[in-house]
Amino acid sequence: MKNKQATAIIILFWLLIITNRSLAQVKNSIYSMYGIGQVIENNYGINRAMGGTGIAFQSGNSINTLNPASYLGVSPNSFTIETGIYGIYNRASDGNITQTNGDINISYFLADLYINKWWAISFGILPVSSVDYQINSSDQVNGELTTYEKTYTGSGGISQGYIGQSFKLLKGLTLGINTAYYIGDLIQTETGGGDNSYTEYELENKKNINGLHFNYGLQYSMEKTDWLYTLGLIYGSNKTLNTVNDLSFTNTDTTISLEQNDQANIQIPRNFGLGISMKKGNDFRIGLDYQWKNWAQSNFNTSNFVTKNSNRLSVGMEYSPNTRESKPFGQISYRLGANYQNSYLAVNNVRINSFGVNCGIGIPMKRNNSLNFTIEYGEEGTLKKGLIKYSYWAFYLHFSLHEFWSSQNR
Amino acid sequence: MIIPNKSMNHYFLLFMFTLLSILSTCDENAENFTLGEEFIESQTDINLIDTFSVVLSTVILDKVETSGTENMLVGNYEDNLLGEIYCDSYFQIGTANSIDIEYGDSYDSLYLVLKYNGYFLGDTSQSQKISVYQLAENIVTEADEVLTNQSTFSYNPNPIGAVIFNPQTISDEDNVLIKIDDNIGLDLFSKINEESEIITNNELFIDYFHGLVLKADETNQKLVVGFNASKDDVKLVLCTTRFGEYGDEEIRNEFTMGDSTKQFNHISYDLSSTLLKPLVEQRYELPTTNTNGRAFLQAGIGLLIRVDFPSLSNILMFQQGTIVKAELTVLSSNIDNKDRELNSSLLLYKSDKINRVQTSIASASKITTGESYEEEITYTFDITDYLKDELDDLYFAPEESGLLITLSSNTLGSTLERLIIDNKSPKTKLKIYYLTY
Repeated sequence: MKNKQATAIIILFWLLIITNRSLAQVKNSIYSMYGIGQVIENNYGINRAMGGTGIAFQSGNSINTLNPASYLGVSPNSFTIETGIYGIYNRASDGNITQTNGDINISYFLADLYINKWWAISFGILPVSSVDYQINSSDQVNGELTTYEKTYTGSGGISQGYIGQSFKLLKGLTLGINTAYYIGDLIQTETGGGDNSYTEYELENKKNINGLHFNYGLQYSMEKTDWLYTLGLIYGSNKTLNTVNDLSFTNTDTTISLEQNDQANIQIPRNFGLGISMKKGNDFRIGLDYQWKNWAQSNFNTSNFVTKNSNRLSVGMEYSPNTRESKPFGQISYRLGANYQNSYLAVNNVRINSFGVNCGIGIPMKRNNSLNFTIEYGEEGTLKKGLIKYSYWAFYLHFSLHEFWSSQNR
Repeated sequence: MIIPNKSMNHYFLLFMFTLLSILSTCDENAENFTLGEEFIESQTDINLIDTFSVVLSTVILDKVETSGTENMLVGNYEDNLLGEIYCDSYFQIGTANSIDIEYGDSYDSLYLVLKYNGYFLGDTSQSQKISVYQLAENIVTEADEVLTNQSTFSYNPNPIGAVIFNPQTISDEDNVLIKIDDNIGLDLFSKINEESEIITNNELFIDYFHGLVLKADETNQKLVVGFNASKDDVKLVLCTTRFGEYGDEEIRNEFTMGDSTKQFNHISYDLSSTLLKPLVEQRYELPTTNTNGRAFLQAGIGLLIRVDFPSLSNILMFQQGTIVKAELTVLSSNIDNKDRELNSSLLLYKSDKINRVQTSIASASKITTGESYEEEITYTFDITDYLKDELDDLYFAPEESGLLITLSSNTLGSTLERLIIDNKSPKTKLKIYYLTY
C-alpha cells in the first residue's frame, strides 16, 4: 500500500493476531470476576466519543459496528479499515483502601467494503468481554494458628470475529446481518504457598468458549427540511456458546486435570436495541440509543452473584464545522457523549451500575484518513454493602484509513 | 480533499507516546492489591495433619568408619545407658624427613609427642594413664580402603611408654610427651648408625616398626580425650647429643606419623547389661517399645535412629489433595541427655529394608525453646520433597520408606556424641500440611 498509515494499521492488526492477546478493556476490576467477565459495550470508533451511541448512525469515514444495517454508509467504491488503541487509568476504592492501575492495549480491527449501491460488507475483530483482576489475600491453616499468602487472579476474555452485510431494501430502508464467531478463554487462578513455608500451588479454572452468534439490524431514514431522521433497530438472539471448563492443579512442576462438576455453558442473551438520530448535512448529528439484554435468563451456576437484565442508555452528538478556510486543521469533528447502564450483575443484591461521559475530536489527515481521539471519565460500582467503586479515565485513539477501489474514482 | 498537517501528526504521536509511558508505569504495586478479598470464594485449604504415627527404633551399624578422622580417641567411658565404651587409637609411624646423626653422637632418649585437641567426654578432674604399645603387625586397610571401629591389630602386650594425663592441666598448645622404652630407642639408634636401609625406606621402616596403639588404663572409666591425628602433631622424637669444642649440642630427629588414612579409632563396647542388649546386627532394628520409648543415637559405636511412618499409606485415601509441607520433629529426652552437649545438627537419610544408609534427605538444626530449667531441645527435618516423591506413585510401603537419623560421618567416627530421642512425647511427630482443593 502506498499509504504509511495503512501500513501502520496492518502492522497493528497482525500484532493483534500474532500475540493473540485478549482485547482487554478492563483493568483490575473485581466485577470482571463474575460470569463472562466485564461486558465491553460499544467501545469502538467514533461511537465511543458519543457515549457509545450509534444504532441509528450510518457508517462513514469510520465504521459503526452498533448496527449491521449501517455499513452502506461507506462512500461508493471505497473501503475503510480502522483500528484502535486504548489506555485506561483506573482507581478502585472500598472506602478505606484505594488502589490504582493502568494499562494500554490494542482494542479492535474493523473493515467496511462498498460492493454496490445496495450491498456493503464489513468484517473485523472486536472484544466482547474481558476478565482482569488480582486479589492478594491470606488464609489460615486449618488446625494451626498460621496464615499463608493466597492470590486470586483473573485474565482472558471473549473476542468476536464477525462478518456482516448491509442490504438496501427500499429507499431509506437497510437491513443488516452480522455473523459473529465468539472465541476466548476466561481464566481464573488461585495460588498459594511459595513463600518458603509451603510448596507453591496453583488451581486454575479455564473456560474455553466458542460459538456462532447472529445479530440483525434495520435502519430507516427519511429527509425532512434539511434534516435526515433515522430510526435504528437491532436484535440478537439468545445463544448458548460451547464451553469447555478445565480445572487443573499445579504443584511442584506437575499439573493434573481435575474433574469439573460445573460444566455450565456460557450464554449470550437475547438483546434488543433502539436508536434515533437526526443529521443535518455533514456538519451535525445527534443520536439517542437504548439497549436491553436479557441476562436474567443466563444461569452461571454460582451463588455469589445474580444476573439481571441489563439496560443501557446513551446520547451522543458530533459537530464538524465546515471551515475549509482554516486549513491547518481542516474539517475537524468535535464529539460529545454520555451513557448510563445497569450491568447484568448484582453482587450482594446490589446492582452494579456505571456511567461515563466522553468527548472526542476527529482530525482529518492525508487521503481522507482520519485520526480520532476520545477521552472518557467513568464510574462503576458503589461503596454500598462493602462493594468496590471504580473511577477511571480512558483514552481511545482510532485510525481510520479510507481508500478507493480504483484511482479513476478519486 | 483535506490537506494534512504534519505538525499535528507529530503532536499526536508525542502525546500517545507520553500516555503510553505514563500508563505502563501504573502497575507497579500489584502485590498490594487486596481489594475484593471478601468477594472471593476460596477453593483451596491447607490442613494440618499430625496424627500419622512416628515409630522410632535404634539401629546398630555393623561397623563405623573411623580412619582418617584427624581425631585420635583414647579413653574409657562408662555410659549410664550404654554401658562401657573403650577407645584405642592406632596409627603408623613413618620414616624421618632427615636424619642428623654423626659418628660419636650419643643416644639420649626416645619420646612420643602428641597434641591434645580439647575434645573430651567425662570427668576432666581425674587424671588418666595413657599407655603406648607397639604393634606386632602392619596396619592394613579393609577391602573398601577404610578402617573401622571394629578393626584391630595385634600388639606387644608390654607397654613401651606411659603418661599420666590430665586435660585440665594442659593448654591446647602444649604437647604431651611420652617417654618410650630405651630398648626401642637404642634399637632405632643402632639402625641409624648401621646406616640400615630401614631408616630411609618408608616401607621397610613400617615393616620394622609397624606402628603404635594408645590405650587408657581400664581402671579409669570416666574419661575419653582426643589428640590431633595429623603428621605435624604426632611424632616420635629421637634425642641425641653431639659433643663439641664449644659445648654439647642436643639433636632431635623426628619420625612423623605415616599415612594418616591408616590412623583409626578402635571402639569397643558392651551393651549386654543395657536395654540395647538385643542389638546385634544392623539389619534388625530395636523398636522404642522395647527401650522405654527412647531411641539412641551414639557416635563411635554407631547407633542410629530409624524412623518409620507405619500409617502414612492412609493419606493415599484422601481425595483431591497434596502435601505442601511435611516436617518431622524429634524431641530430645531431657533427663537422658542431661550434662551432654548435643550436636547442633542432625542428618536424615533414606534407609533400605535392612537399615543401610542410602540417599541424603534433609538436615535439621538444634532448636532450644523454653526456660533453662525446663528447656526443650528439638530437631525438625523438612521432608516435604521426600514424602511427595514417595507418594507420587500412589503407593507407600512403610518398611521400604524408612529413614535414618545420623550424625556426619566424621562425627560418627571420631567422637562419642550421644543423643536420646523421646518417642513417647507427642512432640516427636510428623506434621503434614495437606492442601485440599
